[in-house]
Amino acid sequence: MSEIVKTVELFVEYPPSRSGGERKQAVNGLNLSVKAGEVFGFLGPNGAGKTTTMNVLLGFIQPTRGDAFLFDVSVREPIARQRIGYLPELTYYYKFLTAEELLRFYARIFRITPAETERRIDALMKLVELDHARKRPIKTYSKGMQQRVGLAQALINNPDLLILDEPTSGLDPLGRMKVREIIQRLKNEGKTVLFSSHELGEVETVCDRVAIINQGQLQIEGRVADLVAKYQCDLERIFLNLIGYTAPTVS
Amino acid sequence: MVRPTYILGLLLALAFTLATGLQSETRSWRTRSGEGGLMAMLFGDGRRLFANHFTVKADQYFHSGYYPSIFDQRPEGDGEQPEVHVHDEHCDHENETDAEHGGATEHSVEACEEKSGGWNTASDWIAKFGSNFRVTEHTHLTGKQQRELLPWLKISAELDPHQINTYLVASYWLRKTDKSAEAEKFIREGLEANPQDCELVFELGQIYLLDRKNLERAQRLFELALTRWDAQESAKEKPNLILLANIASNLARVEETKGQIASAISHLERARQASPQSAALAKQIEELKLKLSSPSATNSLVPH
Amino acid sequence: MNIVIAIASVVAKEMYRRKDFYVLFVLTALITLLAGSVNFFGDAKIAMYVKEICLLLIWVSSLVIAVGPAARQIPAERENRTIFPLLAKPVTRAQMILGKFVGCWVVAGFALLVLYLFFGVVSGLREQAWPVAHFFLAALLHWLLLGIVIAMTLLGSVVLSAPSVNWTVTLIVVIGILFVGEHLNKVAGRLHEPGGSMVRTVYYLIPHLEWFDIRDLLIYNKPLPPLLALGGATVYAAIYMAFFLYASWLVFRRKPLSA
Repeated sequence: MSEIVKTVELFVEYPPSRSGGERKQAVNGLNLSVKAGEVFGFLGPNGAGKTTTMNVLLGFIQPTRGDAFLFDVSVREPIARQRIGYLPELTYYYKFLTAEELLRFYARIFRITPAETERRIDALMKLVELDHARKRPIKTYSKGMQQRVGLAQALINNPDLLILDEPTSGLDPLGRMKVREIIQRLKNEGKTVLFSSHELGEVETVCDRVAIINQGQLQIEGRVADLVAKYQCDLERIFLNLIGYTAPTVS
Repeated sequence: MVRPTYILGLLLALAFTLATGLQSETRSWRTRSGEGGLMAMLFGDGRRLFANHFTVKADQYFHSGYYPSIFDQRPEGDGEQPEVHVHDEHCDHENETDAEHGGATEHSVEACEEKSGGWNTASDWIAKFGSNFRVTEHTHLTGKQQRELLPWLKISAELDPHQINTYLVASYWLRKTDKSAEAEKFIREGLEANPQDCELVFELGQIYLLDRKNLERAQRLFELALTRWDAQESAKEKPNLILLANIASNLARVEETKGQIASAISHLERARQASPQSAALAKQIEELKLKLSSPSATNSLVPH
Repeated sequence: MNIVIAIASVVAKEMYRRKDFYVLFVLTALITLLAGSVNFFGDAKIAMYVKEICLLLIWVSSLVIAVGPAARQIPAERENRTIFPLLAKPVTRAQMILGKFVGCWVVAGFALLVLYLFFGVVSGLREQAWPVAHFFLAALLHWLLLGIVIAMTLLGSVVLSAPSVNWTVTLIVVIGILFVGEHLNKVAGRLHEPGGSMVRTVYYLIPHLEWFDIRDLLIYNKPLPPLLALGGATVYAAIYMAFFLYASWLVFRRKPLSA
């Protein structure tokens, strides 16, 4: 199975926030690979380096050392992002545009033909259940609706790789279920999904493989079932042990 | 529970009542009471700073935009300075005679150019190229176009009603564009703001003499102007002799027209003492003396 | 180019939906009509001052229309986090800057068209003359100036963090150049060294925006600049636009963006 996402000895350092301070090592020699067609969970505590790694993959920041590849194309090339869809954790879109106009704009970037664009917009609006609000400006949307618009824009180019940063954050249980359904559907279509989440129960249900990072370093990587069998506990316990959490003792 | 609209209504009524009661009390606090027009109310005494700007604007308009900036004026002690040229009734370029000018020399575009000292020479390629996009031809507004100066002079007078020159210049151009009624009205506005000024009285006299052809009234105004000049200027270290020469010359002209040659001579003598064009005036006096001494003269021998 | 045009169209949508232009146009029209309705000495045919006031208002409005939106394009994208879904697509930072520039410049051009049309009507009715070529050329040169200003503002927006600071600095620089730029060489001649050399250097480096201001030619009904000079000014404007846009890209391309 080919590697859709690959990082090779990835280092990301941030300059010190004040003079005389130390440089912050956000990602420390990360070697990650995501294979085609799998749902990959990217886990870690806050500040572990998940978002930094995603920022490198998306070209928002340059790695200090090492490299990252999408579809065997270096992430420094814009063409690497031609076949991906990205849903940020905090979803903000152009408030003065309607959902339709937003999708049309992004479709134009991908050079999708106008006829095909309209067809996709219709399908996506129905998928994310925003058909009734497609002509309203996004500034009138609730948070949940904005999240769904985000999902729609991530899918407009029918991506082969979907990168989701905390996709269920802020959603009610129904919303979370919808997202899970979409991820499953994409998987069935042979798409690759890379997502980060704190909802370990969800990850355990949906993901084929997971990677857990802490302090910028990869702690563990493998199939969920294999890890659970190996450590004889659920994913949450594995996660807590890896990050060094010990429960307080009761005297 | 009292309805909110009743409370709002009550508060409005209270405010209205207070306002009517306090109106007269607050009059003593306010320095800008609305007198002096909109400009005075908006800007207070600060408006005077802008008045000169608009006078210069009028001059700039007269020169069709061909005008030096403050950077084109050389610092003191650096040789001859190019002058910011303010045209007034002494700087006509076309028809008025030297006598009407009180002896001032005629002012052509060429003379204007020479006087300003060639400020518009480009010293580098940027300035040379930039000259394609600005006015580089020195022309003066002519004919009906001269009315374009007037709005700026009007605004300048609104901003500083005590700048006499603004009224005089505006009056000159109004008269040149066949608006002597407007000129008279404007001069009277100037006199309202400056009741003791002799130049404005003299200008009013000019209007009555040259435009309305009312000799009697013109003479009374010239005499009033002369009286005021004597009262205000004569005691000064550097009195305005050109003005005295103008007033006296014009009085002489009126007297001559009325046939009062001796009075005319008397006024011309006074003008000659004050005027830089004394040779021309001396010649005029001689001519009048000849006229007086000729047998056909019907004028009185006693000066007025 | 398709991506640049797509980004530009979103910028244009934002600008016309924000309604800034309509307010400025209404203000310009109102003040001009008010000025034109004032009776100076009973002469309704006085035209130059109306033209001057109208052109001054057009220049003020156009600078507001150009600088305001350009100053907030990239900072607003970062602050609102809309930059992340955009740059997660196959969009380069150069395309983003170019798209923002084209959007702002095209909208400024339309605004100028409407404003100069209004000016043409007011001036024509007063003077009973319609020098269309003059109006068109003045609008064109004005548009080129706005291109330089917008490019300069975009550079400011990637260098300075706050749009309000960028707005203020850009306006001060632009107004300073318009008033004083052509005279700096004269000022340099009167200064002692090294001040004189510094001012002279600034004189040669700054974009001479005063070349694009032919209001005096319009007000005083003077002949148009020669075609060669117009061509030269256009090339000059293009060079400065390219310079500021390239500088913007150089600064922006290395800026880390954290989602």
